[in-house]
Amino acid sequence: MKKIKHKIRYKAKPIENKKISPPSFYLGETDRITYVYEIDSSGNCTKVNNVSYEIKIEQKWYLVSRYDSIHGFLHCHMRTSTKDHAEILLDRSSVIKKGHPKDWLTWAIKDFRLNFFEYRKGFLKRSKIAELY
Amino acid sequence: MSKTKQLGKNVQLSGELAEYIVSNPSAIKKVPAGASFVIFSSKDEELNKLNHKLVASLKSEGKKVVKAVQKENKKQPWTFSLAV
Repeated sequence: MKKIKHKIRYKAKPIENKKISPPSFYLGETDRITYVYEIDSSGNCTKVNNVSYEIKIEQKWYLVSRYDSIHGFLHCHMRTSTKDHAEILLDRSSVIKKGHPKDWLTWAIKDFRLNFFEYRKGFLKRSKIAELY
Repeated sequence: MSKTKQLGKNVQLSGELAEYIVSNPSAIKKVPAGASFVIFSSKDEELNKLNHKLVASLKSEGKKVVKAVQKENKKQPWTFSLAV
């Protein structure tokens, strides 16, 4: 039997995170929330790609506010108004800093539950639009 | 029930569903890509009535809608079905 002289080395396949993009949650005909995040092979959240709240005004969808952790920490962007595409970056002092991406994702979900109407009111006010309902 | 109240109740339920999906990513394995969730409460029939109308409205726009129904079952607190 021939002896194997050289060890065959296999290059390990990099572990790719899986992007999870559940369907958008429709809160009403004009309001929806979307979650996009990544998980590792164990199912642990590794990144918050986008947790966003959008509102529909005159058949067009506008982003009101969104969270992401693309830069390694959770932060919140808010769109200025329907006419101004620029995003306001919220002060980080009010956003969770500790914990892991799963904690940040859970925090962002909870923040929308608690403050959803404030984000909505603020955006409509900056856009100089009276309440839709 | 006013539309504002519907929004408020749906945002609460969507938060609960989102947390469930984060903890159980395989729960939405069979949910088709590009679909939209409309949530149904296990207790609030008034909200569910409005959400049925929301489903009809989204379907009339050509959207694929998945009904996420809240259950009292701790092992399977949510079920999903495609709105026909």
